[in-house]
Amino acid sequence: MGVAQSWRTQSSRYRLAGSKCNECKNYYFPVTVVCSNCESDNLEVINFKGTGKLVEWTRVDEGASGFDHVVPYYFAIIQLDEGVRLSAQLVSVMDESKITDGMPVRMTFRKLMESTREGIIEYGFKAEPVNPI
Amino acid sequence: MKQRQKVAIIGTGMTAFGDLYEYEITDISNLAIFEALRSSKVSRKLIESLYVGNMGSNVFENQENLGNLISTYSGIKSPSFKIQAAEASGAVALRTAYKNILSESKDIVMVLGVEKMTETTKQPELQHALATGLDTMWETKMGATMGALFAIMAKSHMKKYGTTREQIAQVVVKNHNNGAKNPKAQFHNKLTIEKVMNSKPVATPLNLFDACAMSDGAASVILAAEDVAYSYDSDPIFIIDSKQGFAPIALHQRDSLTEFSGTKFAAEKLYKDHSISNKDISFAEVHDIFSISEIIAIESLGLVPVGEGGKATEEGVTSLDGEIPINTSGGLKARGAPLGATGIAQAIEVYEQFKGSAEKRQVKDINYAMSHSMGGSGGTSVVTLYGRGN
Ligand SMILES: [Zn+2]
Repeated sequence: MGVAQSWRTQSSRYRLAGSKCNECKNYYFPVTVVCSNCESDNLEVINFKGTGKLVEWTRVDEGASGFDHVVPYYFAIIQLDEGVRLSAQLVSVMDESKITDGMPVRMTFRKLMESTREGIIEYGFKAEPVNPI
Repeated sequence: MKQRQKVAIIGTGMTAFGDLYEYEITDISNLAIFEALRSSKVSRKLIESLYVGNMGSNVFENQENLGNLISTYSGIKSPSFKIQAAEASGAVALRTAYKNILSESKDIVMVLGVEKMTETTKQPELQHALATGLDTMWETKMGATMGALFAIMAKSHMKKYGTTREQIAQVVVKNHNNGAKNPKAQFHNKLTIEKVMNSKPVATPLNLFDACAMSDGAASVILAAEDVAYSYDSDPIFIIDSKQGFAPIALHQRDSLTEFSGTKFAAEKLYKDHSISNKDISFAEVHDIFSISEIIAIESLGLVPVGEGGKATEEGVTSLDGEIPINTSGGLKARGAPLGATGIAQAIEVYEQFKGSAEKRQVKDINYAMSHSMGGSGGTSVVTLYGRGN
């Protein structure tokens, strides 16, 4: 990502900042300027608590661009307690066979990418099991 | 004058798909374009617009303004432009051309789908190009690949419906069997379930042979209004309708991990608007970008009951001699998947089947046919219905 995008998305990547629509009460991740449900622009920025559950996961052996040196890794879809879903790497897994559907997870702050086009080291969230496995 | 209802395909042209290192993107485009012109006997001057479906020329060749480039090298000087909707670029281009003829703004147009993927030789570069069709910030940066997303769909489908790994691999085996009968296919080799399951892991449970390979190729069709078509072809093959359906770009934003809701929406609308059912569809070309994608696609298209895509594949329902042959061309998997060209290649396979020129892969007693293309992991869906004149 470029410098401006890196700066702009920091609050969402570092603190799980999202939006709550004050009209229809829908939650959004990341921060958005308009509610895609009710068209309202009456939104407030909130920070998600960062706890949720594992919806589905896979072990990636052929990595995304910029991730080829960290394979294999776990990629997962997480549902936050507020109801919003997001994509994240699943880390701190010692025993793959102990990963279970619906397993409680919490979001944790980690390095995402070693370097990119602009030479920025990117940080953001990953998910880890609440109960060590 | 009554409003136009249908649009005919009056010419087709297509390169073989695969590694076409010796040709430029403009060369493969010309091979397809001029074959289509010759097959239809339409003069270049009559082409009123050229729609170019392409996904990744920006990444693969550092080239944009593709309409202008291809017009220059082909001498088709009509208005031309690129249409980009990830892997559905060709299908969206075809649908846009079809809609333009229906609206009576054009009589004869050309659609070209083209992709030159082998300009890049490194796997991470290819992953990057494919990832541009996903949510690059909130999926790709978090580690998503096309393989990872389809793997998640596969796992969900296996758990929810009892679909087996072997059934998923059978899609690949079946499509390679069909590809072996297609002279223009990228792969003519046959595979076994064991070979698929023992190939290099990509993302559990999917392996390398569940995925499409890099491919170059171009495919072109000439479309004409119904009233114009008969002066070129006494028995024209028609695009009866083409619908586009939406799902959120990121898999995590979708309500279901085991259906393509945009595909379902488009197919249901087609059935309803034309008062037909799945029983009227004689065969279909579907978007098998990964093996599991075909299983979910045939369910979302209503061609087999929901949850039974794997079972239907295992039982041969979707084989060449089955009840509803799927991907008679070999599909994206075996015919090849030069991204933007796939939607047009599907239309050409349908055309050849209707014309009885599909040789060893010929389907008999054709009523209607369907083609299905998707962009990204299923955010964009296009479903097109074909048939004969009355
Ligand atoms: Zn709202």
